[in-house]
Amino acid sequence: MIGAISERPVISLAGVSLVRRTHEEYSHDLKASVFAFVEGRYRKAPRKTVLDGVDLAVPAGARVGIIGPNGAGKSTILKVIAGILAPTAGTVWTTGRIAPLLELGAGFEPDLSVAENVVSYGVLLGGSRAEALEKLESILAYAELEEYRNYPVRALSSGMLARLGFAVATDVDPDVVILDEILTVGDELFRKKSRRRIEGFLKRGITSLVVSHEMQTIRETCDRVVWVERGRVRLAGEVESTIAAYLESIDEVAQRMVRARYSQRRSGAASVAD
Amino acid sequence: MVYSAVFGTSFARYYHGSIKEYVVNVFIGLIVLNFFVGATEAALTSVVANGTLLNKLRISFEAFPVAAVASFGVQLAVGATPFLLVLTLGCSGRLEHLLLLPIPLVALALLSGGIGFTIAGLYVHYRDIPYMYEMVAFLIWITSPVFYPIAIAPERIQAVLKLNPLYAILQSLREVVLAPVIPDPYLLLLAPVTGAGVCAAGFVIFKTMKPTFMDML
Repeated sequence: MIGAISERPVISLAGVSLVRRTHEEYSHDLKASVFAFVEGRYRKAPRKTVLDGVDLAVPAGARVGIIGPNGAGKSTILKVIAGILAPTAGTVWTTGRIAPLLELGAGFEPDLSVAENVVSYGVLLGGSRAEALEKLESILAYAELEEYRNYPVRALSSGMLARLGFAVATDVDPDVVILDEILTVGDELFRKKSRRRIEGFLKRGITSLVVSHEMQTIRETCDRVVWVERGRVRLAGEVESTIAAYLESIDEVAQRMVRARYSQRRSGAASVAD
Repeated sequence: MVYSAVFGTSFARYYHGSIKEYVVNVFIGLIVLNFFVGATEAALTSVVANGTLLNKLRISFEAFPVAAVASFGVQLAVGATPFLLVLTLGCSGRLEHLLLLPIPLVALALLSGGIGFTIAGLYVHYRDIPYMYEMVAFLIWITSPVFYPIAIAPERIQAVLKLNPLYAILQSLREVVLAPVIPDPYLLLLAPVTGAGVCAAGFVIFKTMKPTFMDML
């Protein structure tokens, strides 16, 4: 994508495809599977192509927005870049420390205390225990959860959990930051605060990838946009023109739907008249 | 205690007429069985239970079953090992047996790890594994000579009971702790060899299943 940029990319995907097993019609049961096999009803689990030959090159310092309808593969692209999902075909190449900010509140151990969770998360992100302990205070302070340090995580409200998730995931010094619809956590005050921290990342020239359905967010934070649809890159380029093209296609789809409904109603009315 | 009172008297003749020896035998049996069942059951759910974490961070899958078995290993090291050391000195009276003590224990950890890898991987795909594994664990329990001496079984059945991978571990550990003579080198060798074999096999099974894990979590 964006061939005009000649800088060396920090992230590059070449012909990346991902075929995943769908959850429909699939039995999670060994017993049922064995019986199905014996009775000759066994079928291979259905598979779906989630990403289909995605090429993407992100130069250092770029701020890339990824847009597209639900289920287009936006979050999947981020997960492939973060190394969480391995591609079925094609190559993924990344360099530097990547901070994935995905599914924020998830992955905490509900019975451990807030402080213990912060430390264990720091270790999971690849730091040492000593480093994680050092960061503990600043993370708790940022999440405004100092008073709750010894509370088990399950006792936190969902807003607090989101704040904690945001604080632990962003208290890092990454080369690349990956944001998946996370600019809307916590109360209004915390939202402003989190926005400031993200803007701080962006100002420092850290490479970033942002998935959002809010075009305003994309306009504010990105300097180029990739439009993804059905697992393919439909268009990539400048912010305004790409967003405009995307919105136009949505309008078209919406109009087609209205027209279809209108003609349906008309034919329905006609048959009543007959 | 109750067990030793009930079974101890009737089985005493298999233990040189000593109830004390029977109690130590049972104690060792319980340590081994509880470790095996506890560690493998913890490993079983370890990958699935951390599915959300695996969906947001890049962590190696192997870490979870290993951590489950390792946490039981630490418990064994600080909980039961001091008792075993004292018992070894007290019962066998041979200092060099202390050096042999880690062999069956390491074999036990390896065996649990191998089984743990296998069932943890299977559980990602088949969510009814815990019920089946419960049955398997029960089978292992009753076929392990914990409360009874293996000698009470007829020859033919003994041969079957000895197929239980825990048998070599149990028996060699007992010999190390209790016997005033050099333990049977065959069992002492068989235990770590089966342990390492099962561990390697479990690891390979886990590795081959790994690429499909993320679709199921």
